[in-house]
Amino acid sequence: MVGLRNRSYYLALVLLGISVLSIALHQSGHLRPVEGFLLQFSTPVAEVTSLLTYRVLEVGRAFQELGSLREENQRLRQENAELRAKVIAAQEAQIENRALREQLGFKEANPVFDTLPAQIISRDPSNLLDFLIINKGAADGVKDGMVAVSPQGLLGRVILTGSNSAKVLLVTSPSSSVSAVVQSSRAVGMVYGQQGGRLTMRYIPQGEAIAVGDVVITSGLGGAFPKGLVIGKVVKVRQRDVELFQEAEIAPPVNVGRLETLALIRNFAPARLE
Amino acid sequence: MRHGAGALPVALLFLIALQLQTAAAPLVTLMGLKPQFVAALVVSLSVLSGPLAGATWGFVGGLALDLLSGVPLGVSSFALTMVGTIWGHVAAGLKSTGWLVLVLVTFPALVAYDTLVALWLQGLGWPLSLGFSLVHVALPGAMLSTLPVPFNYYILRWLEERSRRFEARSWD
Repeated sequence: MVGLRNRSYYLALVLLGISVLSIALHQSGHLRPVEGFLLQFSTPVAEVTSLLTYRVLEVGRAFQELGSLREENQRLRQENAELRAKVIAAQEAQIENRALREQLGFKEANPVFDTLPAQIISRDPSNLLDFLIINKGAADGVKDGMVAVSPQGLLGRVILTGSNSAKVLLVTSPSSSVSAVVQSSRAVGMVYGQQGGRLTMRYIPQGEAIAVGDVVITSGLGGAFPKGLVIGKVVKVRQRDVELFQEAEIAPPVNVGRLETLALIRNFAPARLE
Repeated sequence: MRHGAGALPVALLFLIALQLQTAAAPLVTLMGLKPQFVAALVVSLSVLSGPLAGATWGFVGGLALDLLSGVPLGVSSFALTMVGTIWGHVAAGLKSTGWLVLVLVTFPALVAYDTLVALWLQGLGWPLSLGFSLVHVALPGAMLSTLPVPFNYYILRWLEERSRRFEARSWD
């Protein structure tokens, strides 16, 4: 019994030591190629199981939604999402147009995105962070920093690329921050991810008009994300006179848990600020 | 020393738990939280099979979680090895380990696991709030993750029994 106790302590010490060494190597960046390789190794299994999961869920949904009703519902939802995106894009174009006229001839074309569709094959197993793994990697032209979007708006950016898969850090992850602007009032701030898939917009100057229901979009500042992508809608505003800034809670436009595919923007290169 | 459930069936169980956690669980979340099938399986193994199994499977399961999640490689493996070893030793002193005891023991183990991961991430500079992690993630997450524990108990006991019978037959 004592022998077993000692053996388990020694084994635990060795394994804990390896774990700490891995963390140190990860932090120094030395483990990046290994992680990319291992990500690639796990891709086929993840692809098969995600496909199976989607199929099983689809069968369940088909029973729930009774055949044609389901298709009709999906089509209408898609149409609704597209129309919403168009309305928001049109509003954004109108505001931009006004601003451009005011700036006397400063011309900037609306970005037309060239996108690469990808399937979500795995999701973050932890409850603390928000990541996705997609079935497209360096072999398909995916690079670190590429922006991931859905028809409804911004999702995140690629942070690790394997040859046939990549890890996407979602905007809802606590380690994510996006420079943002309220579409109607042009109030600027930073949107931070929160645990539990929430978003908070901070550093909105006092006096700026911001209301529940306002659409928040990317500002393009910082160069990590293109301008004009929908981040979400304001659901709560926290304004206290004693503080320098206001805060707002933002609801993401899409439930990432239900997403099966996303698109990567190919013709936007994030700016590298040294 | 307790009899183990056999490495191969346990490895298969881990694969199933891992795939459930990465593919299916995020689609059926409760209050934005998903059940921690892998961590619950590690704790079940450490309680039913002892600290050696707890440390080994904690390390293997944690490493797999690290690879598929966004946390630095080593964080989950550290936390699960620690939890697996400690809970294996604690359970060695228990007189009986029925499914209800396993559920009761698993709950604090899962809270400890999530707290350890949050502590590591905070120490590495991730902007996580420890208080929020404990109240809004670790506690409700642990409650949700204890749901598959009775199932773990019966399947691990069955595997253990099967492995024992197989060994006895090979001695005959």
